[in-house]
Amino acid sequence: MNYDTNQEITWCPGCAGYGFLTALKNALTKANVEPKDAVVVYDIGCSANAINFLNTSGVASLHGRSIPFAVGVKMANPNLTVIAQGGEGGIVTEGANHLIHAAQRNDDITVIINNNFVFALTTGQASSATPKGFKTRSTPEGNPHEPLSAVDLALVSGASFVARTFAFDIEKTSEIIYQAITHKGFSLVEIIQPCVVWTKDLVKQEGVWMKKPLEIKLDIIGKSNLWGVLFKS
Amino acid sequence: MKNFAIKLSGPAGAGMMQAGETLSKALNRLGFYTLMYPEYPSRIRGGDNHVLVVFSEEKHVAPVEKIDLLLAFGKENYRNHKNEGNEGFQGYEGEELGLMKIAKELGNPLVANTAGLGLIFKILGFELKALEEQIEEEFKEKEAVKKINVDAAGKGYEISKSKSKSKSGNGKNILNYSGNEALVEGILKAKCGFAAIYPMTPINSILTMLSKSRVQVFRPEDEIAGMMAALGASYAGKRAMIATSGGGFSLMVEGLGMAGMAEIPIVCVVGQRTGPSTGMATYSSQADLNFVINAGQGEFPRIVLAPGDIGECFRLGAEAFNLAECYQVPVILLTDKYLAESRFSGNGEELKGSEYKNYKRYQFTEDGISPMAFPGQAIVRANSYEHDEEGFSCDDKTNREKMMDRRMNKLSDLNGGFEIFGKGKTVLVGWGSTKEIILDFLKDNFGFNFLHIWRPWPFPQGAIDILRNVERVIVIEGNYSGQLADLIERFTFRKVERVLKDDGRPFYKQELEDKLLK
Repeated sequence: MNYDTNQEITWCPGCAGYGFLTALKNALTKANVEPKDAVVVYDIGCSANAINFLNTSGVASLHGRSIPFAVGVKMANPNLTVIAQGGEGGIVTEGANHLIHAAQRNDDITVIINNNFVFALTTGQASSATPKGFKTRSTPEGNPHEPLSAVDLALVSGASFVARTFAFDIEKTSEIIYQAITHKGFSLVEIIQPCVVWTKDLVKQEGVWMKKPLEIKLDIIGKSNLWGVLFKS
Repeated sequence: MKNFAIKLSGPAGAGMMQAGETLSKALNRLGFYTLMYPEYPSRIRGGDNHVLVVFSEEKHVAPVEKIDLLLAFGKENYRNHKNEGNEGFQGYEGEELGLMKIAKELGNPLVANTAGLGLIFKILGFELKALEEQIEEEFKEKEAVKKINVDAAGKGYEISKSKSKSKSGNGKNILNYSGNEALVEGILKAKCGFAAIYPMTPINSILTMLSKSRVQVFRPEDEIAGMMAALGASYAGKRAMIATSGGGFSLMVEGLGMAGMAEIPIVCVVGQRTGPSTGMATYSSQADLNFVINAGQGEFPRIVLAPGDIGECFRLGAEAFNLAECYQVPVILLTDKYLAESRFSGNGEELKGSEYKNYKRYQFTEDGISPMAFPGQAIVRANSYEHDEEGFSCDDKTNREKMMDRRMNKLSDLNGGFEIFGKGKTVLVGWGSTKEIILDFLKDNFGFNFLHIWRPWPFPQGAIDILRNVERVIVIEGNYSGQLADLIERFTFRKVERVLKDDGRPFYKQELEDKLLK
């Protein structure tokens, strides 16, 4: 299966987006999804520019609104593999209402969050998922708020598949996306992919990989260093 | 016979709406044309809900302010309306007449309204049969409810000593629909496949009706999600719609622009109510014309349809989906609370298995309309960014110019959009729900030409040609500034006179006569 396009990739050198894109192609290949049968609904932002780089059916939608568009696509044609993509700015900040309700309804879509901890394409302002104390262009004295976590929001809202992974680990990320898109029901994959320009201090981070999903949600909530498939029901 | 106006008034929860519907349908059975116009505050119990039922032997019935018969269910309700009478007015209060007592004795206080209808039929001199038949029809699946209501109507009928004239139907088949009901008929006729609706007055009954139909209904978390989900369903191959009012549509505007840019067909039912903001939530308005014509950043083609009666609700409700699909544009169906919730009377997708090779979603074509495939049939890229023929994001200058030309000229072959009635040197112009009201005015007042605009946007070229060359133009519309009048002046370069009203109520017949015949 060929998911390549003839378009120039415009991400910065060293961007974790390359890892995300490769992992997504690997997962679609393993799941044997034809390019015409996969619909990726993109948010707006750096990672969302992948509309030009991935050769499947796709939609460049609006900031914060990839999830409800994807929900409509899946309702209209359940045979399609439907992915809603967004940065943490789109999914957790602008569009959190859609995230919690799609999780509540257990809509059969996969939400992929490319979390680089800032609004990157608008030149590095704090989002709702920026770590407390982190200095950005909109928080020169350091971010005063505790970050919101997509994983936590999805868990308390009733998501049936929740995972967190690291973009620079392409092998594990490929496998986790594969499991998510073949999961029946709502699945969420948070990809930690620090930005090489605006959050490069966060590039070197390490998580604890879970060998199997945890059974108690409270063991996951509030623990941002847990990686792997964290919850499955 | 001149039009006869009845008002039923009672606290919310006492069944005024239901009684008004039953009464108007029973009058239809006798061969009368009817209008039922409900007014109610934003509350579920108590207060003063009232329903105006006007009936006539001729078609086109306008609402009136002065009534001939009042039946109130409560002393306060009686006081609220007792001074609205015409000459020869009769006013009654249900408690005093014993309607509540009848209901209690029958075992259900809620059937006082039906007892009242029996009384009204007697006062009007009609045989009870048409009312009984109507009640039997309404409750045909609930035997006990049917019986108690028929009994209540009978007991109410016996209260009055007036003599019954025998009037029992003239064989005409008169239909009775609310604007929303007729619209839903059209929506179903058009094989709509997906509707995303967040509840809001005055489109709630559309959500209720579609939920019982074969249309896939999504009650989203908010209007933003509703619009986006409908666009998603349309992109994936279903005929899709949203329904909302001005406040909800405000949230949907970003999605509307995406529909314009990505050329995703979508039908938007916008039921106007009195704004701005929450305004008077359960009252009517025609003040969102400017809004829906101009909503969204940048420029993109759109069609605005404004049905004026139940016939147009049905026809345009269906046609909206054809136009959206044919031109791949958003189509806005602009109604209002008066049209949506009043009752009027009158006579009355599947994915195709196509093959696409080297498919280009935004291919340049002679008429500007690109071939439309759905994901699963081909790789289909829809894009809210400016894009090239294949749907890839693209900022190139030449491509931008060509794409704008293609999109903006898609509607150039659209004809029609208006209808003309009557003869005269003075042209009355209206749009949307004023149609029936002005037609009723024309029944008694000659020498006027009436131009009804059912497609305010793109503004009909034929209407421009007519309005440029007539002596006098008077625009009648339910808003503060005269939004259609502004449009006409913009396109015809002439001044027009304005008859405006912005109190949340429909134009009343007498009021039009006062303003137009002075």
